[in-house]
Amino acid sequence: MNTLMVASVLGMAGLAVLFAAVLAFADKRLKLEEDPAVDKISHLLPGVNCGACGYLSCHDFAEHIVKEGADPRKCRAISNDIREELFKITGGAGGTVYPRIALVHCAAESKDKKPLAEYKGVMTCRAADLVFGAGMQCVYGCIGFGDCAAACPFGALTMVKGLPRVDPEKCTGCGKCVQACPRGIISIREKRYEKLFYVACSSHDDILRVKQICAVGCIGCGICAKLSRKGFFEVSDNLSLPDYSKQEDQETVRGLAGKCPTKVIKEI
Amino acid sequence: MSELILILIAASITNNFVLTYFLGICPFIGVSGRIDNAVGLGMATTFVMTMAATVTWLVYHYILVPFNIVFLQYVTFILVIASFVQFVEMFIRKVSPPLYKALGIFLPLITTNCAILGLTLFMVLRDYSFLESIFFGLGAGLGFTLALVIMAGIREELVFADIPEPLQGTGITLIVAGMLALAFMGFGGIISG
Repeated sequence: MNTLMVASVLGMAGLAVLFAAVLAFADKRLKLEEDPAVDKISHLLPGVNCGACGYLSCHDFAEHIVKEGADPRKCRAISNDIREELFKITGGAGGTVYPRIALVHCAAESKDKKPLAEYKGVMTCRAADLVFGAGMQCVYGCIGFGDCAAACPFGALTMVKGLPRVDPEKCTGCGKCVQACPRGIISIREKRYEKLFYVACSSHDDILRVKQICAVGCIGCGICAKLSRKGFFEVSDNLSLPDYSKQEDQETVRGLAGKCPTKVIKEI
Repeated sequence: MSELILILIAASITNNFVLTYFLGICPFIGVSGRIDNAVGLGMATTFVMTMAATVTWLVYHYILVPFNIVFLQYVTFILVIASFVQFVEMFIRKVSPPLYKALGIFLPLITTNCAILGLTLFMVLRDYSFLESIFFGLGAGLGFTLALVIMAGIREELVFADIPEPLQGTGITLIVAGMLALAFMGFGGIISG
């Protein structure tokens, strides 16, 4: 009985010590040298790996900041305060970075979308877009299955009545939704002023066609362009495009938006 | 030699640990989302299984049996497995940080993968020789990798399927796993191992 106890204790202890020694040796050999700054920066970054900075992951970006002096401003998903902290670590110069936001260039809710046929298939925009214009009359507008909302790493997009709604608080302008949308109706713009005015339509169809199929589309009438003396808007190919850098006079632009016959100029 | 090959094939296909014994279901569901991750975890598990089979055989036959302390086999086997998992974790962290990140908690959880403990216990139960044990471990690991990769391949396509809401995620995965197990029963009569 006594020998059994001794044998088990010694056996287990011996094995444990043996494995501990092997692991200790392996730990020495396989030690990972990591700059503590990388860890610190990696902690400050949002950690959602959206890829807007052009690197594989937030950790990868942090490594590039430390080792190759990548510009911390490339990360669009952090607030100005955190950016300042990053600059404190890297020692670079700060500077204001305007927040970016995603704009949805379509205003047609489910009830506004005129059907062409009934689509029954894989319920994603990407798949639907491949089949006869997703069963919609308008080949430019939002399909409404929410590929963009599914792609958003920040939960800033929600599908409301068949249209993605952008939450300006959560949106960082990373651009994941731009890639996800097969029709390219989302764009990322710098928000320089309090409000950003944009045209919520992507249709290049002429006035007759738009009037026929959509109540909330841009008809390319040019009223906004004619009334604005400073070139706030310009109409080309049946679609009005605002000059996003010229919106410092917010009240005037708001007045122009009110003149739009289909009320397609929105603010966010 | 043919005996060894038979053990290898039996452990990997006809008596596949995941699909016929239903061992190691947790990582099978957890890491079968993408093929490259599945291959990574499969490799890691194969390594741990082979090494665990080798070392536990030595420990069992040269320490536990001579000193008459076979009742300690569970504790000892877990100790061996945990050590190897720790080693694999260090190794992967050094060699491929992205894979380390992708595997996440499932890498240390190889320790608690019952397929590995099951493997060592089967090995003792079936009284395999040293070489047979190595091939048994290797076969079991390859079988685990095979099941994981097949599952990952199916799940990558499953993304495009229109699945009823209550079954999305783990539900449909378990159903697919059941069908895969049925398919693997087809190999059943080939070898009695």
